[in-house]
Amino acid sequence: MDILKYIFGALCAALLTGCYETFDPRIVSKPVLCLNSVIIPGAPIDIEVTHTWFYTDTAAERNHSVTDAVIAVYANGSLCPNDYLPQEGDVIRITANSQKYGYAEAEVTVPYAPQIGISDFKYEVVRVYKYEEKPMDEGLNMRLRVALSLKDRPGEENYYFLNYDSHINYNDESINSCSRHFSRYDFPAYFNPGNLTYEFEPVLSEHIGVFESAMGAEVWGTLFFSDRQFEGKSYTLDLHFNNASYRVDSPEYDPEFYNTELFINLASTSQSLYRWNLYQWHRNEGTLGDLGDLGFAESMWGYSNVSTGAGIVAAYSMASVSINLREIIQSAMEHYRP
Amino acid sequence: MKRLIVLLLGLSLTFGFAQLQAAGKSGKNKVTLVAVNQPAASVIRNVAGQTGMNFVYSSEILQDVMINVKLRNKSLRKSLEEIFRHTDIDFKIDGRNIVLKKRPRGIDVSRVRQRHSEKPVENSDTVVLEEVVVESRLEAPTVETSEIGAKKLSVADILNTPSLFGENDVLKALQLQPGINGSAEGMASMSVHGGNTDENLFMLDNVPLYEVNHFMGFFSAFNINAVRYIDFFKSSIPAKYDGRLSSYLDVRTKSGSQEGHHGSAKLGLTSGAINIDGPLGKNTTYSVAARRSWFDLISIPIVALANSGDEDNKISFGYAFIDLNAKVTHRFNSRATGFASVYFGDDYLKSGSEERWYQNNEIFDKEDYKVHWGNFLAQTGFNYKITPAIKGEFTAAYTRFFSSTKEKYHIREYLPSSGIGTPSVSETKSFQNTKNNINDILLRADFDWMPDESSRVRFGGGYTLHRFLPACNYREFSTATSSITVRDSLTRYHANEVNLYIEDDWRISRKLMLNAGIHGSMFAIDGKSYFGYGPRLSASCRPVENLAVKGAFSRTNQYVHQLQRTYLALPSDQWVPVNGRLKPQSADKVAAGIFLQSKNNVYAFSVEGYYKWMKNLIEYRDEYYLMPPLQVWDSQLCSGKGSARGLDFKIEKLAGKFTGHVSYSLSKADRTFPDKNGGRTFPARFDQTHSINILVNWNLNRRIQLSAAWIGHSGNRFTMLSQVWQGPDVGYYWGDESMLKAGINNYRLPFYHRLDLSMSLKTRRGFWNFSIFNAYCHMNTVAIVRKYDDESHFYDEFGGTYYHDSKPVFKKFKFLPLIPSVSYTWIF
Repeated sequence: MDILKYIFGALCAALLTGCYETFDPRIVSKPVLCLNSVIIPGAPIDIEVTHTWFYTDTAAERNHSVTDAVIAVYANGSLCPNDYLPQEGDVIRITANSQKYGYAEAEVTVPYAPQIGISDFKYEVVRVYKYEEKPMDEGLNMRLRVALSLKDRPGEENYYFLNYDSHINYNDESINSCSRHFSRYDFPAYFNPGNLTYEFEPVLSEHIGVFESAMGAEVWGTLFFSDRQFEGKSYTLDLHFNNASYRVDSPEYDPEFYNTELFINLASTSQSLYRWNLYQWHRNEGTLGDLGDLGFAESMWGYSNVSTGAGIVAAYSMASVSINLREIIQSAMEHYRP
Repeated sequence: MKRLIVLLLGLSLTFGFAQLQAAGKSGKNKVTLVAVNQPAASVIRNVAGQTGMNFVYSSEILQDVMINVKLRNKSLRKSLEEIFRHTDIDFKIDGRNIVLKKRPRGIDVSRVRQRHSEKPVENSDTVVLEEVVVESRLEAPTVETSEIGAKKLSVADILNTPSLFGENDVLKALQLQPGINGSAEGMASMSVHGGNTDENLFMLDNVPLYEVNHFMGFFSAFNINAVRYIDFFKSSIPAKYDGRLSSYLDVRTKSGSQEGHHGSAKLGLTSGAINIDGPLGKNTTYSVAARRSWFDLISIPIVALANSGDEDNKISFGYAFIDLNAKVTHRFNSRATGFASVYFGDDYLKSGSEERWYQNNEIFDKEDYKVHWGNFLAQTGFNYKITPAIKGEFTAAYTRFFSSTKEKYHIREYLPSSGIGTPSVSETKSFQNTKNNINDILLRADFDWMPDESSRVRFGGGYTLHRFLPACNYREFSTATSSITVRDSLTRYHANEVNLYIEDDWRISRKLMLNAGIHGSMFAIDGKSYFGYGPRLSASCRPVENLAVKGAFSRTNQYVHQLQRTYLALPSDQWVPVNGRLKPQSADKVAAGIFLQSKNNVYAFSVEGYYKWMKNLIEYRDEYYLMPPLQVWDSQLCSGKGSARGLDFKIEKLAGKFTGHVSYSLSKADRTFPDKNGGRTFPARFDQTHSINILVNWNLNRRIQLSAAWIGHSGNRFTMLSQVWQGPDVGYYWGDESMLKAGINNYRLPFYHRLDLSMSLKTRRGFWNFSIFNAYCHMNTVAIVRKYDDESHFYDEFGGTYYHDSKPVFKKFKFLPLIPSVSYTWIF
């Protein structure tokens, strides 16, 4: 997005200034029902029914719950009991009716979990280090390359969402559920696969067109894709983790700290979830959202598959594979251990 | 095949019709006219109309020449003497031609005049390069032609229009005409009679230009130093023109002068320009005009200042536009003139950043962007007088639109060693190039046949080989151990376009005029051929001398369109051909009007009404960005229809110390697309109900001229999203708020108005231009944005959520304050 920043900079420099003035547009609009639900096979269906609110209505912003809605869930055309657990392939329809906000409905098909496997795995230890200052720690940097095979279900449009995380299993207890939000010093041992180097897998950037490319858009953070380029076939995702790192507090040596596992998760998602992610990318990372807000492009509204235009009813089925990195880390670390 | 037959039949009938008119010939040599401070070109056109004589001249010699004359039933020679009495223009009557030329410098005008009255000047050595030059078809006052909604713009007209950054602009001068709206604040792109911005054809010496904007649309690509005149058509479209739905702008560039080397150099705050022309031997002239912006030079100190505080972090930025017009004209003989010309316009944006660490500077993070976009046009033309009554214009041209974005980054990271282990260096390189271009090769022949003074037949045809590359993306990415190259959207489209046209401008009687014609076209792409025909008809009835009632019908077809995701003229805008499931766009338009001109030709009044039906309009469908863009760019598009109707009023003062016009337009434009707005009709973005333009030029004295332009119109349409909903807790943006869909263009922005002023001060060697854009600093609203009345917010690290501690509000986003500018033009 840097280029956009520079273009705006040029515009502002040349045009001296633009300014804002608070304004009441005196536009009449009516709140409607909003349905949100993300359905996972085998888990109870959780539905959130709220209502939309006028942008400047701060009271409604704080509380937009709906108390009088009558909600019904249908699976494959039949009304479901409250404890119904959805299955892969189910067509779920959710309806909600409120005297105040009207009627809303949405339908989604629960996708089948994808068939995935690791067809190849390569690694390279880039560096091993030990800091002797306090807090003493030691660790390594490595590159990982995972070939993840995926068999696409033929005859249907499929959408996928990729995710990854890692765990260190210390005496049968997982001590590190790695997330980019956690501080590395929260745990005595820590493994971070780092960010996927998105550029190496072309399907991860298939949503970036010429316009966004020209505006300098980045693939960053986009782990969703469709089967449009390999419909009904097998495809191998080439996943590069070029800045994976392992660190352990080193006063006490314990090989159990090396017991690290990398999980790669691939979810088949409903079209609605894929589109929701795509919308979010354009809204937050792309150029159109920013220009639309400034009046230099069409305004961008939120994607919705609910009849009222508010909310997302989505579903996904996850498959997961893992790679144990214990031997790699241990041999590299012990190679340097006195 | 059936369509082809209809087309050929139409052409034959029109041609035959014209032949029949050639039967009767009449002429007279008495002239009656009154002109008060009227342009010379207009006066001689009047004389030509009354006498049937042809005037042969270079349009430069009539530039800025105003005539005051009162003639009643005078002989031709007497009339000409009267007309040119106080000018430095000489004339020679040669058969049916009257040749005009400038008197040599240094000759006393009164002596020349005396010599005239005794004996006509013998001009055996007269070199008139433009003997067969193409002339504007809009020289005559509007009451004397059959055209509706047509306007000839001279360089003087453009110079008399106040400008942004002191840069007089062809398109912004046009925006003061009724029925024409600027697309966005301060920008040169325009919407004509409710059409989209890509529905206007811009031609430079008969050849289409695709990119007509610089600096995202704030300047147009036409350098007025290179312009001779501009013909603009928006309602009755002559049969020669086709390929766009809304309007046609035929820009003609000037040839060099035979009378020595002359030119000018202009220095403005944001750009400079230089032009020079003159002879290259006895029968050859040249003309060169170049213009360049200074934005990159202005940014140098700003960037240096930004970089001065930090040794390790540097940024770079530069933007410039340049255009160059060069033309060589050669006169082969009195019947044949040829020219070769080149136009090159380029916008260049460069930006980058560099961060370095450690003393050896070996660890860095460098990013560079380079964006180029513009046009290149090379052409050669040959004008030949086949017989005294038939002129031909033959053109061969290569025109290229290009847009390229290159992005490069190189990161070198150092992982230090401390204690044990080895240090490591990691490198990542990336390169991306996005291209969009069009290459056209064009051949055309245009003929102008005057079988007699009551009829003028124009006919011709052309062939264009188009090569489109709508979207091409190349990416290279490498690390120390791996690399990948991705190419996508490589599809090139080749298209063949053939055009044929014929029209007859027939003066049936002094009271009745008719222009009838037809334009036939064929566009072949991907094994599919599209045929289009565009009948054109305009008629004028003059019940009294100074009043004309006119009516017109035209059908236009468009095979190439521009996909714009934004309202800015960005390099990412793609020109794409019609293909696949999309059909060519077409528009039918009827127009009628009343035109009144005072007897002394000082005042003019007109009212025009129009209704336009547009079919197969192409736009992005709703939420098109949710469809993967690779290869299938046309699947993001949808087809629909539109309509526009309105009334344009204009009162004009054409001559005198004060000149100018007041215009008012009442209009409505809408669109209906099955895949947009739920299939419901919605207002077009440029649906501006009321539009008022006032332009005043005051020639205070011989040195000072003042101009003022006031523009006011209903605000553009805008899609106002006002309802918010809470998103699901999934993905990266948990619980993010989104806006609820609303009707497209459901909201009208506040009334737009601004006043621009300029003053031109002539000096001995040139002139100063002082201008103020938006003189009373009314910053107009370009959008309504959603913001918070105080931007303060905080981040909840653990919840990952932003909280605003202030009230959400709508705000007007206002743009472009008062902008003063100054420039000096040195004439040599």
